[in-house]
Amino acid sequence: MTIEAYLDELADRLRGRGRVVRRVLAEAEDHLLSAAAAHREQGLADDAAEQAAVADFGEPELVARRLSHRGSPLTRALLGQAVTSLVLVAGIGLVSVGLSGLLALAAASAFGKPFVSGDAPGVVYTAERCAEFREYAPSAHGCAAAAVAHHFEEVVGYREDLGVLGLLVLLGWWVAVRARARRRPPEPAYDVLPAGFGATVGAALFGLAAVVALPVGLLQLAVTGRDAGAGALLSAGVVAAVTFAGFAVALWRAVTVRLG
Amino acid sequence: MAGADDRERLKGHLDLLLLSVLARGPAHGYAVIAALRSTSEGTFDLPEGTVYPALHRLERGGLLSGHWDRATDAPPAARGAGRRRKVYALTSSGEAALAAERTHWRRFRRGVGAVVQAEGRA
Repeated sequence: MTIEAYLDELADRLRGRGRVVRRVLAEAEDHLLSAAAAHREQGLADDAAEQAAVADFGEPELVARRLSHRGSPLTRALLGQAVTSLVLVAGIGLVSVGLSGLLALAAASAFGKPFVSGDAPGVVYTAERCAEFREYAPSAHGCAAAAVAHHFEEVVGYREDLGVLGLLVLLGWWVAVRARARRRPPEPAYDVLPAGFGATVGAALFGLAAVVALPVGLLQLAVTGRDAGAGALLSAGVVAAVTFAGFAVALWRAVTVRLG
Repeated sequence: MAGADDRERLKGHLDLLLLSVLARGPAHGYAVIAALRSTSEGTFDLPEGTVYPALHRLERGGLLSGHWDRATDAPPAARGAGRRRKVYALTSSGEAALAAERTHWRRFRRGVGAVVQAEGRA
């Protein structure tokens, strides 16, 4: 095959924007002409030199497949890294919610369930609502106690469910990252997103959660007393603060590594 | 030309090899591939067209910069002498990545060497 015929076939098979394809073809042509010239210098005739250059370059189908720019690789890399980082943050966040459920459970063991799920003073339920709570907690003494038992399941049970979901998300993330690493050869660590992107998002979210939940929980404890459910916010705030600290350390390490 | 096994082994190290070649100075694709082939004494003799996607990827990643020049060093017999030619150069990010990759490579080579030699002695 001559260089011209090879470039025609390559052009037919290349996909992507015109300006990109044009530059790829120009680069391929420069390479092929240089290679053919080198073969001629080694004594090959013109036709044989072109054929050797084309053969060395590789099958047009294979080369075109690897050289084709489908969509914007930058966008794909950006999306891939953003999704990978955010799924990891989401998984850690959900596990933190689960841990706050466990902390609420421990707080309820220490201070009683009303500390976690008690209603504020003055809250009154209708007879129908009380009947629902009693149906949910038939052994509870009175409407208020039944309401506490009902709310406790909402605070602790739902959080634990989210924690289990978080573990599944982290497992899925780990499997996906490992599978991708196995499919692709290892590459140098050049990132489209800045270092510490996920840690920044996580630190911002959990820092905000801690800053809101802890003072509000403490205020609720001071104003309404121990048995009015302040433990729900306080357990969330404490775990949010710890998670924030973890993300902040990760961010600090990413930044210091980046700066050398 | 490199065998299929060599090509598979090479995949994980192609970026390091390309960055190492370009650490010696800016070069166009053909010169990079020729240097890769000659320095490795023919071990890394890949289908040449498949090296360009790696160069493009490194360029997109900011490790290489590429600019178009005129081919002035083409042999007189070369058809199209003076044609446009893309020249690649290592960026500062590329230099940092190369240093990191070299460190990884030395650690990897030491580990493999230690295991292989231990197996040989066993």
